[in-house]
Amino acid sequence: MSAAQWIKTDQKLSVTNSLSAIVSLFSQGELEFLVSTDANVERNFSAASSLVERKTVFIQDLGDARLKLRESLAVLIENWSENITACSFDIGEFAFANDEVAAVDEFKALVVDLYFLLKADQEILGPLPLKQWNFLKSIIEEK
Amino acid sequence: MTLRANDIDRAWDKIGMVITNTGDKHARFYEAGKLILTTMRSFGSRKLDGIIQHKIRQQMKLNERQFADLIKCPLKRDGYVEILKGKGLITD
Repeated sequence: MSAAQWIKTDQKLSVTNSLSAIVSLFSQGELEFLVSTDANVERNFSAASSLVERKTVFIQDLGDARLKLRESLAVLIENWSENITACSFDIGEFAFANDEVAAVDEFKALVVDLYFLLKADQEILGPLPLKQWNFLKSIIEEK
Repeated sequence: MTLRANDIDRAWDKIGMVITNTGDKHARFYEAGKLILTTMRSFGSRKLDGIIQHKIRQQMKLNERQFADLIKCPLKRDGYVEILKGKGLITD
């Protein structure tokens, strides 16, 4: 990443080509990604996006007639320079779109798809999907 | 580097991720008859820049170098299985 610009959400702060400032932000927990300085790494694959805004919303409905949420589900909405992402750390799922509503709608559709996918394979789940399935079962019930 | 859905689909095909229908929202990775992980694949024809690449990479449990290897071809299915074993996501 040769010219990263990181923007804090509470106060606008730009950092350009300043390793010490990046290290400082990282130690303060402001940076989400470990910036690799390994010259052998293709830097084009790094996540050099600018986070403009972040908030958490709680959804109470998955928008699918077959499923009902037992409790509201926290979804982290992040407004990046080029996309809006909606994600859940509990489920390990994310969606993206050009606007917030579309990102959340896509996220809901992905959760519904994941629910039925894991349900179909519930006898053969490895450790990671088993954790996802146990969580989904705890918050979703079929109507 | 900007990736497109085709680049990801090609990489997934190489390591044997399962996509049953073109409309599938998830790609699935199976090993020894077990479902090991799923990744979101409803990209449309959009460019997959910055944070999107990062999140796909996170779902695949790869670091930057490994993800670059996957896209550029050196990383094959056997290597990917070893990476996931190392992370405890594939158990014997």
